[in-house]
Amino acid sequence: MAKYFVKKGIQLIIVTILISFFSFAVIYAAPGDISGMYLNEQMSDEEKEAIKENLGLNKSMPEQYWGWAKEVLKGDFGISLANHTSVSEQIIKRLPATLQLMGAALVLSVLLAIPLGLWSGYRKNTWIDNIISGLSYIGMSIPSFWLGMVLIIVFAAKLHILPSSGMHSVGNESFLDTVKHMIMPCITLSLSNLAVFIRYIRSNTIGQLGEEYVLAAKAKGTTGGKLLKRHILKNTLLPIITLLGMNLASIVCGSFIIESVFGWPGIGTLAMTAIGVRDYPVIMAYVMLSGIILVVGNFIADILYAFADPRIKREDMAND
Amino acid sequence: MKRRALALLCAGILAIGMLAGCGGNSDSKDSNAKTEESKTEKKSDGTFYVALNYMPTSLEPSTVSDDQTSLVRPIFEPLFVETKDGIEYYLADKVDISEDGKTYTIHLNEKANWSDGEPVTVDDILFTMEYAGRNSGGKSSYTTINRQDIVYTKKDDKTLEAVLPEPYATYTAAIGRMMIYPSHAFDNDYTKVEGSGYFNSTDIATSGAYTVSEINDDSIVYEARDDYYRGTPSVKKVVMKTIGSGSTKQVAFENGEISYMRITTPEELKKYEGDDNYNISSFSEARLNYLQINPYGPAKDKLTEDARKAIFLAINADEIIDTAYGSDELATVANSLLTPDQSLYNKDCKGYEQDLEEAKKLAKSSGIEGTTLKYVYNADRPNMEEVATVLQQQLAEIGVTLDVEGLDSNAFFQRFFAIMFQSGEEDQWDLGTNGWDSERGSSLGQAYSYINNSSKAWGFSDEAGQLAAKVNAAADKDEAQQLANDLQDLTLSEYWEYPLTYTNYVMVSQKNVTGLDAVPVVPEFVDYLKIKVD
Repeated sequence: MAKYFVKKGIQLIIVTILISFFSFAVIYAAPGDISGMYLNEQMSDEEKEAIKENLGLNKSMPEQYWGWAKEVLKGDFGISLANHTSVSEQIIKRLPATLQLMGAALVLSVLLAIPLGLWSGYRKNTWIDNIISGLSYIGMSIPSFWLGMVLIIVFAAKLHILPSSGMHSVGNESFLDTVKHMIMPCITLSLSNLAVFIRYIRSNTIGQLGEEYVLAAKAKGTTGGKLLKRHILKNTLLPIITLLGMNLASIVCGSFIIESVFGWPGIGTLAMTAIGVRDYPVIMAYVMLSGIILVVGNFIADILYAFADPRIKREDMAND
Repeated sequence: MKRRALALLCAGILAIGMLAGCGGNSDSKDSNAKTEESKTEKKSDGTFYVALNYMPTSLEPSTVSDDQTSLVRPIFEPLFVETKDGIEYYLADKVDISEDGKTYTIHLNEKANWSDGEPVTVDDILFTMEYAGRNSGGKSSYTTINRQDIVYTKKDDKTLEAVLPEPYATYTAAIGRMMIYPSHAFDNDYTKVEGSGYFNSTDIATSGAYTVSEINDDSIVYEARDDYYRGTPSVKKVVMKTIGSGSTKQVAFENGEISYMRITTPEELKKYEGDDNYNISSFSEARLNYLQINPYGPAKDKLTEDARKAIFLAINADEIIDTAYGSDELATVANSLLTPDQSLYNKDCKGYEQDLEEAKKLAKSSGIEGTTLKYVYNADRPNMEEVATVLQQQLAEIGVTLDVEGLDSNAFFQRFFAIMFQSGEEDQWDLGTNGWDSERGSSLGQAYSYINNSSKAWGFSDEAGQLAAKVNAAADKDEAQQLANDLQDLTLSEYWEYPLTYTNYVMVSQKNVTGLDAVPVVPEFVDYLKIKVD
């Protein structure tokens, strides 16, 4: 097990370095930079050079990258070039809003996917299965920004029962008010995950239903509901652990599109604004956060998988 | 049974969610009836609601972006605003300009004060200039003209003298729109501003009609000051809140969540014009949208004077208005590189008129026929994509193909202003559209720096540059006008910039919101005292 941790740790470091370097290279190569906010026609060439030097833009890409990486190794993600505020502070300030939204969406997906997936698999090829599967395919295909807009039109513009955007009503930061604002973005975000989870759970349910232990349970008189709940459910959740691990990054880093459509003040909109002005300290901090959590999420998923499925642990021990 | 019911319920929720959009556009009467219904249920609290595109991280009085300027207008005022008809004063109450045009004496309003009780003084102006030049050795557009220093002298706490190295009419607008920082909050040390977090708190000393009352996750609340020197605004509260992108703003407006929004398309104008639930406000944006030919582009050798003339004569500006803007309510055809909001504008300047036959002849004789030119536009600006489409079709008539590329603002500016930014991208475009905003007042405005550009980035001749400098230096108004008339004709005769449109700033507001067009200056709103919410 210790070897496993060390191996994963080394992988994490290598992947982090590669993510940071290639992301930096992409930003560097992209047209435009932050200097547009500072230069004007009145300046002499010397003044323009001085500003570019201050912003670090006159250095080569490896030099700029190393200048940034050195500070990051000390735990300093630097100051935003656009608004001169600490990058870490800005991210920490926006993090709760994103965690709230994305976490709620993920929980909603899982809570709905389990019963629907189980039932769909248990009733394979019946009309219930066909409806749920059909709706899953539609759910996977629908563009999230379109769905978001449709929900806004229906529930805000036409029915006036939900607010169109934002996180709170002004002057009202009650839990209920926040929930009202969260309903539409949560539904939008949860739909695609829901559709994917349903498919996985359905597929695993069908697979498990063919196992001998299920036959044995049926022979002992176990009813359908108890069979699903007590025997099949745990086995079908294993791939969901992997999916949840992979989704951990999105919980923290948010959704650019949904936060923009719904005006949700999370990390996604911060990153979008930073990309627009090429504020590379903020962009890099976001990319690093996303990359590290993705790798850590997969790592956690691997660990949980090993605990959830003793066969994995025994295989590892046998290989050792 | 229970599980079946639960599964059916969940499936039903999914189905409703996915089929909800099939309702499509509902009847507008129903929509209006519901809007009216919801409005009568919600009585107005007299608050003015403004949509933000994104939640800002600072309330610093910066004029770097229009969004930031609009955001801080309620709390930070300019010294004055120059219009075609004269100066409208805010923190300053007098500006004297010497006969030779080189000495400016700016007097601050005796009553102008910060919200923490401190008076607004000349120290605040000098502090703001120092801060603006912090990254470039003290140099900024406030402190230099043609790279020569302006000499500032503090006469007393309320009087500042500025001696220019040469007469420079555009200085008036530049100094007027400055939004000053409270120097006393930083012990008059500009190095203390960055990283202080001062402009992220509700304790900011403000010079405008409001103070910062709340900074929430997705909104900022301003409350009216009782001690504001120009009087107490009738709108006691201004709320700036983030609204989602795209059509969400329209939904929020029709839901009554925001007080107004800008209209940029003929469809929106038609929708709201005939609706009694809303008011339409419109004023000249003092903006010129123009088409620029790049003297350094990949086809620079082919873009001779005849070729440029061929391109300009092929353009039908009326068709651009009809297609991109729908009518002259959103924009009118431009005839000069100055706007009607500038006192030096010549309404008799002939502009360009389409002559397709001549254009075809010139295209053939100059060799530009059959050429593909790279065209760039700013995709973040309204109507630019539509303009590009129309131009593409019009130039195809003379055998010129446009390879059109839309860029976001940052990438566009790096390419379009490649010479200024020294980005090395000047050889990546041949034609591009851009706009000059805030073109109002008694000077040439931005036209001056383009025509008299030392790096020749925009192609104008030395003669045109010298003439522009004469206009900017002329102290006599009649002389300046005559020279400006000559300049407007001369620049058009060189076929480098085609003035396309003068745009209007059109807004739709809730029925109980008025006064939005009282001061026709963008970014909005310079004077919150004029806004009323009944």
